[in-house]
Amino acid sequence: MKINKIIVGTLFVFCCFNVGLTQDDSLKYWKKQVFDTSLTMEQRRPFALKWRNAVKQQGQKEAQRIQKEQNKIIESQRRALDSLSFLSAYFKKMNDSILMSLKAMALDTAIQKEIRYCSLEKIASINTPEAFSFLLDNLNTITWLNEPISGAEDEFHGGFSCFKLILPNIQHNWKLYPLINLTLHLVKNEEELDAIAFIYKNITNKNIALQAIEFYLDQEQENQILINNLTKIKELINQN
Amino acid sequence: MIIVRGSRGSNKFDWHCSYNLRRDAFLNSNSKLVEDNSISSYSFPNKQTGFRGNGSISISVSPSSSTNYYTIMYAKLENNWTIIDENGEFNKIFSRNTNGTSWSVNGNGLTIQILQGNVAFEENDTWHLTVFKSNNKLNEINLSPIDVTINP
Repeated sequence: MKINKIIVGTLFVFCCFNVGLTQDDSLKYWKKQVFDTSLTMEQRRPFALKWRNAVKQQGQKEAQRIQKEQNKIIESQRRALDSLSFLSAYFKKMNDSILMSLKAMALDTAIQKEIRYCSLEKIASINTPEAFSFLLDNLNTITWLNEPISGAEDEFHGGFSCFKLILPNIQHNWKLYPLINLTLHLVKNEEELDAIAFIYKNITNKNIALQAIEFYLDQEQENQILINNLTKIKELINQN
Repeated sequence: MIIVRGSRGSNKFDWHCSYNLRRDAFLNSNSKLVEDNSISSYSFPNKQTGFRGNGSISISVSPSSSTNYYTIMYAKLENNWTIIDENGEFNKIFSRNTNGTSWSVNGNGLTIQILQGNVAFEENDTWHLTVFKSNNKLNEINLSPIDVTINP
C-alpha cells in the first residue's frame, strides 16, 4: 500500500514538473520561430499568434492578481471604517473627530473611490446635522465614486454620490429645511440646485415645499445669494 | 464616440453621430482623450499589466494604414521586439540598432521606434496598439445607421 502511494506521488510530481517544462519549452520554441528570419511571414504566423495568446493570458492573470490584492486592501479599510462608525454611536464626544476623519477620506482624491464611497456611506449613516450638511455641501465636488448601471436616473445617482446617500434619510425630516438653507448661502450651479429642489420637494410634497420656500423668502431680506437660490428652487419645483 | 442607431432622441429613424477621440500620449501615468480628425490615426499604446521595463515608443501612421489592432512583444533572449496584427497576417521583427537599446520597424503604413530607458525591458513586456481609419471623424451627423466595426 505504501509503495503504491509513493509511486503515485512520484508520478504526480513528475507530471507536474513535466507539464511546467512543456509549457515553458513551447513558449521558447514559438519565440525562436517568430525570430527566425529564414521563415516567411505566413510561416511565422501560427507561432506569433500562440505567443500573443500566451502573453495575453499572462497579462490577464497578473491583472486578476493585482485586483485581488486591491480588493483585500479595500476590504480591510472597509472593516476599519465599519469599526469607526460603530464607535461613533457609543461615544458621542468622539463623533466630531470620527466625522472629521471620514470627511477627510471622502474628500481625498488620492484614495481609491471604493473607500471614498464607503466613507460617504458611513457619514450618511451617522445622520447628524453636520453629516447631512457635509453631504449637501459636496453634492457637486464628490462625484462619480460608483459607476452607474444603466439608464438616465441611475446615471444621475451614480454621478452624484452624496445625493444618492442623502435620499433615504429625507422623508418627513423637517429639520432638514434649515440645514438646506444654510448651504444655500453659497453660490450653487444648476445641477446642485436641481438636486436640492428634488430633496426639498421630497421631504414632504410639492405644496409644502413651496410654502416652506415662501416662508423663508419672507424672512430673508438681505442675503441675495440665498434669495436667488430659493427663487430658482421654487421655479424648478413648479416646473415638475 | 459613436451612437449607433437612434436612442432616446428618436424612435423612428436610424441615425448616427460620430465624433472620434483618441488616447494621447501618457504624461505622469495619465492620458487625455483628444479630437481625432486624421484619416488614419492611433490611440497611444497601452502597456500590458506587468510591463516591467522602462522606455519610450513613438509611432507615425500614414493615411494608407487601415483599422487594425497590433500587439508588440519583447523577447529577452533575442533582445528584440516583434509586432503582430489582429489575425497574425502581418507580423514583423524589429530592426535592432547596434547599441542594442533601440529598435524600429516599418510596415502596414506604420513606423514604430522603441527606445530603452533606465530599466531594461523584460521577457514578454507588451504594448497594445489600435489604428483607426475613417473619413468624417468629427461631427458627422446623418440619417442611416453606421457600422463601426468596418472601415467606413
